[in-house]
Amino acid sequence: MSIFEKIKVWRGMGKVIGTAAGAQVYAGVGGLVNAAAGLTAPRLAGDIPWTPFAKPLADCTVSLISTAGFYEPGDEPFDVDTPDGDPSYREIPMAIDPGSLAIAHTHYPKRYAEEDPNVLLPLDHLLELADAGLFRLARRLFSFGFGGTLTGAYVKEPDGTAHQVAQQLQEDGVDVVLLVPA
Amino acid sequence: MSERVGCPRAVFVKFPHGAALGEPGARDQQLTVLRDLFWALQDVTEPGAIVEPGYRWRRTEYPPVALQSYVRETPAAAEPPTPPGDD
Repeated sequence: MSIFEKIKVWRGMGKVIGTAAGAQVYAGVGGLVNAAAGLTAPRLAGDIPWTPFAKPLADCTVSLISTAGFYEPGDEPFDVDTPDGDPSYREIPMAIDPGSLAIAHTHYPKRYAEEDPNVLLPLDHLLELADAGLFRLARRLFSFGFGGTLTGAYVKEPDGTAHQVAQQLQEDGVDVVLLVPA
Repeated sequence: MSERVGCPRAVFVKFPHGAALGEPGARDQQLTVLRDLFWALQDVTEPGAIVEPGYRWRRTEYPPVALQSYVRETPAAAEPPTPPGDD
C-alpha cells in the first residue's frame, strides 16, 4: 500500500470540499481543476467518433452514463483511496429511486447531489419524459467513480471499462447516451 | 476536457462541480439544461461542437419547459437556446 493510500489523501480532500467553505473554494479553483484533469486525460487519437442523428427521437432508446460515483447500497462502493482512480463501473436500473443511491467519490462537492440526485443523475426527469412518449428509456444506466487520474484502464482496447460499457449499451439497443459528469 | 477526449456533442454550463444540471430542487432549471442536451443531439452537425447556452447558476428565473419542446420539428430551422433573463 502506497503512502498515498495509507494517509487516504483523496478521502481527506473529499471531506474538505464536502464542507460549505470547501465547496466555495473548490468552485473558485474549478478552472484549475478542469485544466489539471484535462492534462491527464488520454487524448483522443484519430477522428471524433460521430454518428449523425437520423431517426425520430420518439424511436430512440436513451441511456445515461454518470461519473459521479453513484452505486446501489449493498453493491461494492468505488475505491476512493487508490491514487490512480477506480476504473470500474456499476450497472444501475433506470427505474431506481435516485434518492436510494449512495455516492462514493472524493473529487467533487457531493452536497448538491446528496440533496437532490437529479442534479447529476436526472432519472426522475428522464422517466417523466419517457412516460410522455418523447423517447424510450434503456433498462439500465452505467455509473463510474473516476477519481484520481484518468488512465488507460478505461480506454485501452479491448478490455478497458469504457469499451465494456459501450458493448453493453449496444446489447441494450441504445441509440442515445447522455454523459453527465460530476 | 470534452475537447480533449473527443466528445461528439457537448453542452457546457458554468455550474459548480457536482451540479451539472442545476441547483437542488430547481426543476425548471434542470429540465432546461436537459432539454438543451436533447437539442444538441438533434441540432449539432459538426463533430466535437460544444454548445454554451450561457446560463447562470443562481439569480435567474427559468421558465417551465414544455415537454414537446424537447423535439425539434425542423432541425435546420432550430435556433440555439437563449439564456433566460434576470428578473
